[in-house]
Amino acid sequence: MPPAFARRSIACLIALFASSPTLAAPATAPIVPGYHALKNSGKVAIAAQGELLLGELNCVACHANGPQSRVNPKGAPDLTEAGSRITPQYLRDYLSQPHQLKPGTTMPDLFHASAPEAKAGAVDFLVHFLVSQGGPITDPVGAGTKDLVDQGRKLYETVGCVACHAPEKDRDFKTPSVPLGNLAEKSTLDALTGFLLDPLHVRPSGRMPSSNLTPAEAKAIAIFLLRQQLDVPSPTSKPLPGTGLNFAYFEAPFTSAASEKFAGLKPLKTGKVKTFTVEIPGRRKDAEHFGIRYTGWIWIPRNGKYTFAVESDDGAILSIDSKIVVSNDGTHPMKPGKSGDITLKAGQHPIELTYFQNGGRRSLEVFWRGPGLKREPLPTEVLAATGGKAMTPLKNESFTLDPAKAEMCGQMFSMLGCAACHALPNRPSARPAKNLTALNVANPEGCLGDHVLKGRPNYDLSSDQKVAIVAALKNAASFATPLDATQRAVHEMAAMNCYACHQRDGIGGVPSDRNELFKSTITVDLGDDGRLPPLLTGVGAKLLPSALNRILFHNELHVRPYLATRMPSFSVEKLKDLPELLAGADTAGITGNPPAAVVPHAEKQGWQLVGVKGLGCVNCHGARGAKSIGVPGPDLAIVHERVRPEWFRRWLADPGKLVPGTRMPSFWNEGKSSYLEIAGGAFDPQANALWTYLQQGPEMILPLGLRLDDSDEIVPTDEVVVLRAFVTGVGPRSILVGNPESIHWVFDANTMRLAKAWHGKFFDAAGVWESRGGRERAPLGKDIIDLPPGPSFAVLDSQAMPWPQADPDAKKFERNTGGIFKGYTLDNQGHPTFRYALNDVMIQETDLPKGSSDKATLERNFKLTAGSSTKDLFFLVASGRKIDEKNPGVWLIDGKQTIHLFVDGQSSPITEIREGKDGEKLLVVPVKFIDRMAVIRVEVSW
Amino acid sequence: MFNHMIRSFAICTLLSTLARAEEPKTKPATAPTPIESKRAEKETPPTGPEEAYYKIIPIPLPPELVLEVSSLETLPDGQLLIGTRRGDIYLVDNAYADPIDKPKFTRWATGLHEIMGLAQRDGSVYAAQRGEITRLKDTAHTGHADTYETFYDGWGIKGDYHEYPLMSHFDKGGNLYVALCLTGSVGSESPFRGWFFKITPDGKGIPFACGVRSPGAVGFNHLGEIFYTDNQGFWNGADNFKQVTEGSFTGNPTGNKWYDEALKLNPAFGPKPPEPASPSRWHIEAAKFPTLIPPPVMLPYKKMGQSASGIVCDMSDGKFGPFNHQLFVADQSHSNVARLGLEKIKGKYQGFAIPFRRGFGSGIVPMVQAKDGSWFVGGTNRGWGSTGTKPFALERLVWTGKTPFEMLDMKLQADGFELTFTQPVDRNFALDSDSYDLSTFTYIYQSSYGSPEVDKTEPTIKDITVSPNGLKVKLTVDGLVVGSIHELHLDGLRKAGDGKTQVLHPVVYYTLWNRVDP
Repeated sequence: MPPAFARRSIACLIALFASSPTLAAPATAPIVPGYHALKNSGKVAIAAQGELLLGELNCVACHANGPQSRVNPKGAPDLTEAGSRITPQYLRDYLSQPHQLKPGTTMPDLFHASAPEAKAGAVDFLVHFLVSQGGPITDPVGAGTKDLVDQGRKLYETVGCVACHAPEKDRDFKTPSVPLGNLAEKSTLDALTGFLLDPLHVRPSGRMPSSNLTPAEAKAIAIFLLRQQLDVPSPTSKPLPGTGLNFAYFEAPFTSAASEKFAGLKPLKTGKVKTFTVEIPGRRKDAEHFGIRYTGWIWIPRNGKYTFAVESDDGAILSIDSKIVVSNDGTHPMKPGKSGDITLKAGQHPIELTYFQNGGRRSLEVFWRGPGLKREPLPTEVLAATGGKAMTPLKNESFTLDPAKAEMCGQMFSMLGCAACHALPNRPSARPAKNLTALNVANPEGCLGDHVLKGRPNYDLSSDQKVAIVAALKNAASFATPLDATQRAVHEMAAMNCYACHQRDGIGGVPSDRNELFKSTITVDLGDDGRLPPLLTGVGAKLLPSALNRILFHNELHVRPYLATRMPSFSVEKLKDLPELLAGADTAGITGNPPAAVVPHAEKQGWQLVGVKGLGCVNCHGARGAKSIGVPGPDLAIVHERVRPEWFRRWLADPGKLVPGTRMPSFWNEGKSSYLEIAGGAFDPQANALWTYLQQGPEMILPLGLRLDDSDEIVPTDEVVVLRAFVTGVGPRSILVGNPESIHWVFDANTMRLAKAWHGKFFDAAGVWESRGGRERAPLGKDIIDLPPGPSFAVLDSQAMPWPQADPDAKKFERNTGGIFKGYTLDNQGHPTFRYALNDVMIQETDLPKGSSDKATLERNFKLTAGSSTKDLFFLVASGRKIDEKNPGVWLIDGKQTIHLFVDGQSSPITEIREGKDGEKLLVVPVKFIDRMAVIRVEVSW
Repeated sequence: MFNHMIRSFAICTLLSTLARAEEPKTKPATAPTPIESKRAEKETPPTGPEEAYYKIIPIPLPPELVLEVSSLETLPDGQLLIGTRRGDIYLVDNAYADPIDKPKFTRWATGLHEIMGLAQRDGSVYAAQRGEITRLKDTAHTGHADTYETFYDGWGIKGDYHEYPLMSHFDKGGNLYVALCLTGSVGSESPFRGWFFKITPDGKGIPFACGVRSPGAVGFNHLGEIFYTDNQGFWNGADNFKQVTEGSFTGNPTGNKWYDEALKLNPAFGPKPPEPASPSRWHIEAAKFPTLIPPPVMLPYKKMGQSASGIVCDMSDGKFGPFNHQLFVADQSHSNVARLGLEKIKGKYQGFAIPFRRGFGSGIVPMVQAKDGSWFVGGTNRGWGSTGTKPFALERLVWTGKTPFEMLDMKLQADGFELTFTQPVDRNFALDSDSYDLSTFTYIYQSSYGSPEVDKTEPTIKDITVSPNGLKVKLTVDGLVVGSIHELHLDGLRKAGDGKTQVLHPVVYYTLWNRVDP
């Protein structure tokens, strides 16, 4: 920094602090919502309230208190990119009169007593400095409509914003609302949307958590918050996300989606459509050869790299900003599709997609992935066919950044102490302050005094805040001693204002005057349980710390979709200890409660208990996303990830004791349930069976009474299920066999091969039972294994002859490689015996479950009856990269599958290892007929 | 013919076992439990002017079952067998009651892949599923099938939803006929898509004809000749009612590529199916290619329906009313049924189509006539929408005993048409040429999808005579057009006696391929 600048900067500072005070305009005390929760509870000592304020008001940012101190400054917004989101005019107004412009702000007024000229000079320097941080704003234009204002208002007033902030019609709430300031003057639509999507980025203090909004929701809320920008006359119109796309429909023999193929063609139909879909209005229902061109704008929520994927049948090409991003051209099926990357700035970009259909199936879907966005179908909310009214910040002065002022002010930023709270790289705070323990609380010219000295930060503290801080300061010497878990939990929950929504141990909870702001999304009557966030008393004894982690930070494991108020996601950095603190606080006093136990093979009993023919849990609980029959209680498939086993057992035994007034009934009155078929209704075996069943999580077999949307999951409960369907990776002539023993397999009647086997859930028939029935589906369940490729039997007349196997691409057409399918018979338990003929050998294959529960073994029984020729016939036992013989007749395949082989007439079976494709080894048995008969048995366990 | 066939069967012990659940010889693992429909499920039958003559009786279905009826068959004792798109076969008891009360549904077989045809013979049930025809038996007499034998599987499937096999009932010789829908209804990506197969009683498949696009049913006329419905699309300007003979070509050349493969299975098939010119007309191409049979009846698109499906020939000798030996074709999209009358002129079938009954509950797919003359009609509209709003339905259609005032028959003459009515017409109205409106049009026979109505003309009715008994009206017409549909409106006709009653269905469409020589 040139010395001249430094001199001027310092001169400026001197002027500021030397001038006489002039104004004492009315101001509101800083609003720290958690402080009010503690104060109103009547359960927390005044000193502890004050201790909260010392952190929340950043007192300890200047008044150091040693590295061991338990009181940490909250911090303040990250100003790195302040210039890109805050208008110069707002900065000027706000820095001049922070407490007047944003009553209740926790930022102290540094210039409260400065002379107007000096203040104006200093503010001007600060404005240039802050604008230089990523600014100034260029092209500050977004677009909105009154409808979007309404949408945004609805979201703002339901998703949880008003737990801390004021609703549109502000009232005098018992817990004051955190101020927003004049946002319409302060910011742009894109900047505010970006902030709402990721508030922790700008406000690392974490006091403003992420409400897990979608980009479109964030945008609607931002439009609502900036709604005054729509009230001013504006001639411009800008693309309006959510208005879909324009399409033009052509009928011609397309074989490519290249845009030149569409040139010169006259569309048969044009119009608007919500998203990229072939289901456009006016398309001929049976048209088989057509093309569609979609045009419009895409709204990009944040700067960054975006990946777009196009799945289409047939070809499609996607362009953004007139650049091809994805070319999935040509005649082909939907899968796998293609993808491409593009780096985009936040805002609007022209988008175009051309698609054609050349007979057969027709479908189109576009996906995206980007900063903070998981792969998902491109939301309709970001597409624009038409425009809305332009929105620019009010009082948006033209501003020319003076780099010299900005540069010079950097030092001032440090010396004034701004840097103590607003951390900026290479800008340490250079403002000295006394240690917390050395403060004179009685000094009338200090922060706590009635006449804060010019140059010192003025917080406009209320008298009760001052009392609380004074009380806390008396303990300052002991701040090196950590609080216990209970106290720390209170402190952290107050800082993050968890108490705005949740009550815990008599502190906080929705105050009566904000109660009506909490809504339910459904009409089912759950009373206040359907509106208000849950009570957190004892939550540490209920939820596993891992579950609390996922709930607090990762937007997971939420079980109350009917609450309009969303559980926000908090800063991991700031709140990482809370799960363990709650556990420590709540489990300390509870002893002697046995946990619910996992009992081997009890899954099925649990399944029976849960379903409509058992205790009927499904009346209130859904599972795996399937909705409950009645009111929407927590999903059963995530219970095991959430709750502690000992809590689960206590909960089942007496729900009302843990949560007074809960709707969960008590099923074991006097120790017995009404379902006597399991353990005569006894509590422990039934509770354990339930717990065992719930442990399966998403792998659980769907309870009786529930159904998944677009799913026809078949549950082989009492009988063997044999079902033909299109099965992924197997072929169009798949025959599935589902067993009540929870082991299942699928036979390919084209190639005479048992193709796959698995445990757990069976199969979803929706691929052939819904829509036009032409979709293939993979097996459900777990531990899916592929049995050896190629047919089970083959005639090999030389050592070099490979095991017959079709090219996988031709799998759909491969036929009769292992013989000719003759059908199947069912035994009296419904087990099928498949029959197929290879040359003149008739093969009967009976596959049976051995054992039960989730590790059952597949037993394959073969009976061969030969005609005239019995030569050179081989059976393929197993295949893998590594085949280890453990004992005679026992092999371990690739360290995973165990194979037991039994051949009639051979005490230890004669086998050979042959080379398969790509380094695979094949374990084969030459089939020896005795009296034209051969019997082979293989047991496969994994 | 079909009922004759059934009656000629010896009563089969197995099927009566199925029907009456005799004492099983071995203990069944799980005895099939009939599922009763509740009386409360009974529905209000549709009403309308047709209802007075032909009554639709909705058969209440057990609410827990998804019975998307895609095939129907009756057993020798009259018991109804239904096959569903979900692959189940149910026996239905008490299906004939009127008013219908507590029909019983017993699952006899399950796990098949979209059943598009059911036929029974010698104690076995034959079901056409996507990949094969399966012969099912209840060998252990447990009341449900325990043997699922692959009877014929000589065609290919690749997982495409359009690759349906539409199967007939048995003909007199014990043969089955299967029409194989094209891949995606446009291509022939799996073997023999677009072909028509005959399956002999010993399970041999004979490539029988080629030219199929998207079939809706295969049936027979009273003589046992074979017909099928083929849907509007490529090479079908409208939905067509087509005849099939061995070695014939029914119009869509997409499946021709399998000809060499077909010759291996049926060396006597004859010459390669033709590659017709496009755009053209059916009769022009038929004149070039002797194996091309123009559809005996074209069903005007939208006017009569949009998705021709089930076929019934009335074999009831009057138990179903006055239309003995006439043919009936259902429409899946319009949930209605048309009546067809054929005549053979110069060796080729041609004839008329007239609306018969509308208001069925779902999209009709199969229909079957029972021994008592009544029909069972099954429906589903999954994947293809229908006027009938129910997702699936099973209905019985019965003649009330009342004969509607209706055009019974329409025959071509050298110089015009002779119309026969079910009841005498009022002479004054019948002799007035303003009572009629006659026009012609046809469809382009082309490789692209569908066709507009083209070649429109307006022939003149030069003379009208009425038979003394008032049952026949002869229209002498100047300007009959070979290759066209003759659309004749009869709005002006009245019934003799009251002079008020109109013909119940006052429009008929006659497809004219050949003129009658004078």
